Amino acid sequence: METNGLEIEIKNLTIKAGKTAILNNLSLKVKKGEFITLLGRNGSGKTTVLKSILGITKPASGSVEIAGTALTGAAIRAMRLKTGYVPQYFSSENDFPITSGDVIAMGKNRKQAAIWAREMKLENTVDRPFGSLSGGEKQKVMLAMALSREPELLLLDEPNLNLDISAYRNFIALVEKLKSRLNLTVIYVTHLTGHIPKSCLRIVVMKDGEIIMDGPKNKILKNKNIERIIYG
Amino acid sequence: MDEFSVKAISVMALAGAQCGLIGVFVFLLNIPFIGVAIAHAAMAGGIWAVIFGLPGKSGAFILSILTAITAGPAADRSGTKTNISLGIIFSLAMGLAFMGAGIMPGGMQNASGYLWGSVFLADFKDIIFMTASLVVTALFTVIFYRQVSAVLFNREMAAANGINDKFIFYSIMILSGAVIAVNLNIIGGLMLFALVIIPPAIARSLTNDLKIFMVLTVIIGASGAAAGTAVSFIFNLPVSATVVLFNCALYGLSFIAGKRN
Repeated sequence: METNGLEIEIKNLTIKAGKTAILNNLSLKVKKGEFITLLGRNGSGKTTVLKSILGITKPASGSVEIAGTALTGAAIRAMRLKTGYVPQYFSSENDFPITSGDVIAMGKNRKQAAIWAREMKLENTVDRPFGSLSGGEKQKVMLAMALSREPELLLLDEPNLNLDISAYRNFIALVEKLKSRLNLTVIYVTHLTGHIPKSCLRIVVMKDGEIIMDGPKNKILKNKNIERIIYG
Repeated sequence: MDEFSVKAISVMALAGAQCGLIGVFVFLLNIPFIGVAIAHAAMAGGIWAVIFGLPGKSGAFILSILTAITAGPAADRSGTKTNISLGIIFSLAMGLAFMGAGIMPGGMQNASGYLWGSVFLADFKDIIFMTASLVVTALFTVIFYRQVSAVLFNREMAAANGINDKFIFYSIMILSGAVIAVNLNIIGGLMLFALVIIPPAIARSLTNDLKIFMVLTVIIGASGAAAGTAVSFIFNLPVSATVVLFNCALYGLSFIAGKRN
């Protein structure tokens, strides 16, 4: 399978919760096949950007365009069918009576689930209860589910949260391999400057719902004040 | 056992199967309030229909369905959790029911019928409605199995996967409301609550597979309700209380067995 990636353009997007702006007049363009990292401390609006791209969060003003089509009405569902999303938390699903194989099959169907379980070496995991898996195994299952949909866009929301260093490195290596093979557009969210994947060449730094820096990875990470800028 | 008892046991098995099936949704969505909210809405509907000179049963049914239809969108639009939305609806329904009961002579007596029900009052029409709501709910679950399981697992993730989560979630709420409304005057709100909550809690201790969990819950619901009714006849005990206690005992046994394993 090879996809073409998707181009995303967010124009002057403002998202509000009550009177508080979660995203404030934010604009961002992501090219086809690009791998970008949204970097920022908790509450900076990174996850809201992903949810806006998915059409889950409704804008107060501004717009999101995917491959040149404004994200409204029927276009939202069409875009979601081209997107793989790995969300942040799985703890509330720990007591859910479901096998990992069934979780992967939620993505598209059993046939695709079997293909991606094999591809990601999850054959020995598919019959186990999802709640009994380690954090790393759960992330792999969710990634398999996302990829079984043959997406053009992959959204990864803080995949490092549940993982130890070794499991995280394995997970990112897998994402990078698949990104390169399938030519996916990838948006990766993290709050840790030390967790930027190698093949990600562009970093977008967010603070208080706004983009405060956007540029090549090397340039952003070379900034001696980067930690103070993000967390200060 | 006489024909009368056999009919009552069969009706209870049917009610138990239905309650078990919607119990799967209630248990996995963690919305136990839906049972009491709709039971009290039915009570209010029945009382106010009688006050306005209309058939109490129709009023109860209409307000139950309205409650189920409103609960999902109310939670979504207000941004509150579904349980909170159901809690507010429950409070409103209870207030309306007791206000009506205060106005209408003999109101409390009519109202308590919706809380306790009577399996002996089930007629042919009731059995048809019960069977139809079981078949429709089961068909919905089978046809939309992937979508239903995704919404029950994580609604936001289901939406991100392109599943029409609102359609699935609201359908679950409406079907649950319809099942509760259909069963209410037969088994009553209080027994209904037990038959919705206990079977999935037992089934959960027996399996980690969603399909098996769903089937087991329906079987446990039907057999627990039927066996509880049979026990009440054998020992000449009140049906509702015996069925509730019998199911609680089954849960206790499954809990002990689960601990041992």
